[in-house]
Amino acid sequence: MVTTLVTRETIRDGLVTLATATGKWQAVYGYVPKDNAVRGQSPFLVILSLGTLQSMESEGKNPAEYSLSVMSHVLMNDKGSWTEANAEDKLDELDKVLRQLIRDNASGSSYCDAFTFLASPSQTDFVMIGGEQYRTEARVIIGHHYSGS
Amino acid sequence: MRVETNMSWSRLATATYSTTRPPAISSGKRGIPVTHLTGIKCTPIMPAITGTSANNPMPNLDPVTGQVKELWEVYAESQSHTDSGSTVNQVPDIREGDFMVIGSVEYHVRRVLNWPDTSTTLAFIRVILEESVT
Repeated sequence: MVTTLVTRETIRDGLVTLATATGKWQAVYGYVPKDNAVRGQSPFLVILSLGTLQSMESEGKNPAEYSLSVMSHVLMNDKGSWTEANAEDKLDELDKVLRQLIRDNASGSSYCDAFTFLASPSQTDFVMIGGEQYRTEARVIIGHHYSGS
Repeated sequence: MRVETNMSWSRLATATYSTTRPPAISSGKRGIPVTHLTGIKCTPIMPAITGTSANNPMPNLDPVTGQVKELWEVYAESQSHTDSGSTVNQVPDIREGDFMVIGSVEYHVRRVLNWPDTSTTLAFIRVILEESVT
């Protein structure tokens, strides 16, 4: 029996599609966007490939876990009415949106057999992009293929 | 009115640039920049004194690509130009977070420094720019 393995890109692109469909982020990138692509947009989400775990148990049984790094970015201050307090509220809202998204697509939504979170808390931080400060929140989402194909 | 200074200035401000600015945040979201100012007379873009150079040991590096990002500067004074479609006569409304469009290149406005003049008839801004990594 021949097992045709799949590329991690399928799962990453699928998660980009699901996140985009929520309409909660101004932009969703499946790659590292250059700052001239971001151009002050907020909020935006970056989904990157993080790693693959696959075992070769037997012919036709090669379960795989595709880890994806998922990071929300929220502008902290627009020098207008948008303040750091608004940014913190938005970060919390997007955390919930992402958890709900995975909960609602836990069966994989045709991209894989299941989506789960890595059993570890998300991590918030700060980053400067194009001279503007963003709050960030990163977590790891895992796409599972039970058979590996 | 310091006519002599203005005439000198007009000989220096030989470049005409425009700016874009991200729209106001709406429903918690902000899109890409739109045209804000046009027809701004400035000094031609030149490397900023505070930017990277042979004698600056701390280059401004892009965190993703590691590419050196040069800093540039232009000067502008109170003048007639177009602000959001309306003609105004004032110091150009440029602030951090805006983008200055020079030719086909878009530069991030990283810092705007006001140079007030005691006569109040002249006021300059020094605009520090950073070229976007492309």
